[in-house]
Amino acid sequence: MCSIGEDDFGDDGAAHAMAVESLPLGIVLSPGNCSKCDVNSDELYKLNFRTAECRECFLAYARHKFRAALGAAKILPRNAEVLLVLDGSAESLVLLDMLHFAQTQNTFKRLHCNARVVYVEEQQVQGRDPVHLEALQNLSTQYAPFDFYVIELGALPSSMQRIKDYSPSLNANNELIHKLQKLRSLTARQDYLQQQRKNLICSVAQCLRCTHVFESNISVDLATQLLTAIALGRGGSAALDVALLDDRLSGDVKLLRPLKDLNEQEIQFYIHAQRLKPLFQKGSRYGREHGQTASLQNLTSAFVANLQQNYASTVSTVFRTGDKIAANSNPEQSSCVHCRSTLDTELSDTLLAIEYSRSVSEAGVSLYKSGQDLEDLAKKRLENKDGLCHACRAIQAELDSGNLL
Amino acid sequence: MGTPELKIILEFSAGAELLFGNIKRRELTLDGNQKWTISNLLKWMHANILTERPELFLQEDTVRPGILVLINDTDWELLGELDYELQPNDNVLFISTLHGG
Amino acid sequence: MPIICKSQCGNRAALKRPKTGDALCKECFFAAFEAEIHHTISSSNLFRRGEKVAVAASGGKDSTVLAHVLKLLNERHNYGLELVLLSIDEGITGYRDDSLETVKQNRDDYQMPLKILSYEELYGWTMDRILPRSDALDRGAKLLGVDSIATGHNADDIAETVLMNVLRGDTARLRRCTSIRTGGGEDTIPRVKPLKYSYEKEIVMYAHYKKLVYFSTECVFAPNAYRGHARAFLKDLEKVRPSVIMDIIYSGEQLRFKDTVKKPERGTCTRCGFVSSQQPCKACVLLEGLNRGLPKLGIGKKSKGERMIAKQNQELALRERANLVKNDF
Repeated sequence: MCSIGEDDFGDDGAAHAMAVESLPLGIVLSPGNCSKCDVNSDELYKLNFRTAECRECFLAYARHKFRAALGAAKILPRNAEVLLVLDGSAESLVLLDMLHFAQTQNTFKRLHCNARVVYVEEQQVQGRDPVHLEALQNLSTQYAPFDFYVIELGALPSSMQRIKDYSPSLNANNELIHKLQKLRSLTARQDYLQQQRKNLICSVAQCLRCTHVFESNISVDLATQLLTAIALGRGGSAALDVALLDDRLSGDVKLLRPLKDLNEQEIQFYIHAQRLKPLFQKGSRYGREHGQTASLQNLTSAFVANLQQNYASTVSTVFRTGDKIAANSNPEQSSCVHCRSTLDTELSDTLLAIEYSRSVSEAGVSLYKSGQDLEDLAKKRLENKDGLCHACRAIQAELDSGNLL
Repeated sequence: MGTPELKIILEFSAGAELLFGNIKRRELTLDGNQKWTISNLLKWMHANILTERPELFLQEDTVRPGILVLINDTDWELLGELDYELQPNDNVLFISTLHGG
Repeated sequence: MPIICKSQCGNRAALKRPKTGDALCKECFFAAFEAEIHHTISSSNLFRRGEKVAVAASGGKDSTVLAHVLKLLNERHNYGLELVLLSIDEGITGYRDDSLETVKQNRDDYQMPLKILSYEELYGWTMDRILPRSDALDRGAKLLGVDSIATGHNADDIAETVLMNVLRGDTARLRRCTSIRTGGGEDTIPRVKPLKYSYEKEIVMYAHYKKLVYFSTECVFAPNAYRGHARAFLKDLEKVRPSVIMDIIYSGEQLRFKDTVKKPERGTCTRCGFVSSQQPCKACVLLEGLNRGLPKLGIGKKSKGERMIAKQNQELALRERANLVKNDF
């Protein structure tokens, strides 16, 4: 449809989103005076949209974003039991470092909570080399106040071990891997895995009596996640996928994303400033090796990254869209038995149209002769017998045999 | 015995022809000694007749999503897409859905 | 091994349906495609018996298939509608002539009255590109006295618009872009999208198999680069999982907004009385711009436009005062 100045779209095209600018991610540090504290420094940190500042002023600024996220919403009760999820990425190391700093301050600024760290080992599922245990042990020494645990993705929560007792299991044969092999598309496998990972983390939190989980997603992750959720048909719950607080975990465990307001440049500067050593690159997530066009998730990630290069405001605009949406939640309504998102109880015309399409395809030319009520047939098919939401049903439909749960 | 020939017809519509010298229908005679799949045909088209902006027709090694391919009036998605082996007198039609509507 | 039609009619399948993955033969596809549009129309009560409906006709594939199918369904299911073709001559050189020829062909093929309204008739100006066609359609429909306007937006268009509005952070449009019916309040003519659940692929295949004539040359206002990215992204997604288009529409419908997010207020323009969320409406601003010799008015930001008007008023005032002074002597 040619859509010159179409009403649903706007008359100005996407002009306001089109400020072309590049966002250099390379670290460029130069000597000079800090514009904040006026102290002379060999290395000034120049963030986009900020004046150059010294290391201390930069760290204070970045850490404030973390504290503000937790503080503004009063979302973390005093002395809460927190489980920090470490995946080895730069972001997760920044989160660990920021939490550590916040806890070791002696002033009124101290963040009062009790934290533990769990490293989620994904190597068996991903088929990559295991993490260097030594690097992990060094981290646990460096951040000694926290207890470090290791859990393997796909293993039973009870197999979690303290880092000093952990050795990688050689048995690459867990149920999760079997389930993944039975799913036909990478899109379904990635979607399923994301849910399973979340369930595992929740179980670990319960084992360790933690009420809150910290994950290290930053703004670009959440912008990508929002678009991915929409493409997967998860619009009703997309708000929780990108919000500071996600309360869909079982047992009243709350998932928090305190780094949501940080961007990639801030992460890189922080890593540099604190001399942190990420264990993995971000691009090493499950299924990324199959290429951009291998799944909806991979496509979306590549799309956001490409767009961001040409239109610097892409991530922040999408991210802000995420801030404006609310979850479709109603305590009286039942939740999806797989992803625990609130089920839409109203009849959706769009889902009905899909089922109706199936019915008319089966009937073909004889659809007017058969006398069958095709709409009725479509409605029956749509009736939620399995307790799954639309998107989780799509995963189920790609399972060669067996049940999703 | 002359060299074996493979004769096929290529057609373009709904704007796809604009990328191929604005010619809507072509009769092709290909070398019959080799096996011709749609995949080979696309490479041949790229090398020989794709005159305008190849990225609007090809993406990686296949036809850009949004351009429909019909072989003898049947959706190529039912015929193995790139792996379909061309037969004598086949008609391959490319319809763009990417142009104004 | 040829694939046999899903309906078990025994014929060879001709196409794979993207919505469900089912393979159908031509005849079964026609039946299914038309039945789905009928289902959309009847389950959403898009029309009422006796109504006069304008089909927004551009000569392109969507509006050509829409006109064809509406005429057919109107007769088959006895909707009792009076269908007319409404075409806006935007005065775009080159594009206009061919597309209007196609629309005239639609008129003859479907024996529907055709009204072509030019921008000149509507506004007294020929305006390439500056005024939204939607506004012109509204005005044209009012002139014709129709009860509703049917537009050719298909499922791909709607999914693309959902993505665009997420990318732009435009929650006001996100709220309404998936609606099958928009407008219809006081003083506005409702717009309906009977092809909301029809995939672009099927529309093109339907037109091809039915040998419908449509016009398809790149519109000179081809989508801007940003929208082009969104469209290419959607097509890439569709290739990986064809059901994604319906899934995105579903997602768009399921989005809820925080109470703190401002809802757009729709009022009527104080000058021309047409529906507008701006005061005065965009058309009046643009017209004022043309009349004042400030053609850029209404294209940029509102504040900038106001500054331009203020500046001009000031200059006019100065000149007038100068004239007064002159005349005093």
